[in-house]
Amino acid sequence: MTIIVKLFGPLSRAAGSAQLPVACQAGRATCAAVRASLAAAEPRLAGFLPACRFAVNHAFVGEDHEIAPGDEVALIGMTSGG
Amino acid sequence: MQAIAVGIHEGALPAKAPDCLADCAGALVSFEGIVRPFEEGRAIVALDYEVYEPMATRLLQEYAAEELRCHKLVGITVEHSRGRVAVGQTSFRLQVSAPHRQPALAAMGHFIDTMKRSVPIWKRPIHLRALAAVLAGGKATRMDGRAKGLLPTPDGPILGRLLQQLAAAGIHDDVIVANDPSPYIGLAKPILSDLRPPVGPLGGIEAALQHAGSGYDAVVIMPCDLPNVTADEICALLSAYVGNPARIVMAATAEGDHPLCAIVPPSALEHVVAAIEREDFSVVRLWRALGAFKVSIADSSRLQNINTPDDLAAWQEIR
Repeated sequence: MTIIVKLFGPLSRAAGSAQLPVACQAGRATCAAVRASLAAAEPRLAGFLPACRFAVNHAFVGEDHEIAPGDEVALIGMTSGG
Repeated sequence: MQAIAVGIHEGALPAKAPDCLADCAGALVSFEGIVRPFEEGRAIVALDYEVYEPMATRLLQEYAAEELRCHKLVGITVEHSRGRVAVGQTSFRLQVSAPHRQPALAAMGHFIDTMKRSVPIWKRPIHLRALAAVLAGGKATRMDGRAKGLLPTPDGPILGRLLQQLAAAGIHDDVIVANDPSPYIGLAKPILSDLRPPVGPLGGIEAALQHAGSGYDAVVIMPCDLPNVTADEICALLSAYVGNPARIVMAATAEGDHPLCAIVPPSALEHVVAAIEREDFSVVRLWRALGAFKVSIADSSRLQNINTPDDLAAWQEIR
């Protein structure tokens, strides 16, 4: 299945896009797998990835979290609000 | 007042009196985050905030609920901007009310720390596009006609030293305004000449403003003969300017106004041209007529200039 990963701030500027599609095998679409695919698909994100967390449906999740079809997936890097 | 209220607003947050509180609150702590004039050493005009809104709202509500529970608060209100917020405007406001001050203060600090770590909001600085125009067009008659910008200082020629201070204040685009370019060619900066027969510094300012055109938000005017000015004074002028970029700012010390140490919007060109055409060549009179804001420089020696060989000798002795 294809997972659309939302990007923001420095990540979206580095990738030149506010979202990236990532192909994952159904049943194995963990955040860790998406992270590995992202690193391969978009080398410009590589330097950011170690400091990034995944959010699924607006909540932070761990690397083992499995993404279901229809989930909203976002890659959240260092934030700077406030 | 609702116990928890969270809002993301477009642009700067409007000024607001504290919310009325429930009867049992004996303490209200209100914090406003205001856009500073500098980010990482460079003057900015604004911050652009990007917010992943559904998640930011959800997390702010969760964190607010946590503070409410842990600190037994009466209420907590959180507001944050999205989009562009100019320098000096409010982009974040947090109000915490509690029966007593200790829990209100503790919740305030803890909430902000938590929020900064993880709420998906990003800021991007919009830098001030500033051009420095160093005026070196004087005839230096009192200096025996020597090119004043090349007078020696321990940090190199006086004009080169000034360019270093401008760079330290985050300004890297410079022009030198000199009707005789030959002494300054080695500095490898663009050199402008007056656009008309010399009328004094106002003619140089005219050339600089015309050169800046629409490519810059500000022209930072400095005379070439200041051996003591530092990035601190330049930053003080920049800070005043970015709070109101349409307004001229000029330095002032106890000894008087320094109209040639000023920051001017390129749009002032029409007023400069009009003053020259009516043969009113006083820079200070023009800046005052245009409502210039004065920035007080406490240490007047920072804006001391060198006009004569005696000035130079006295300055070198002090050094």
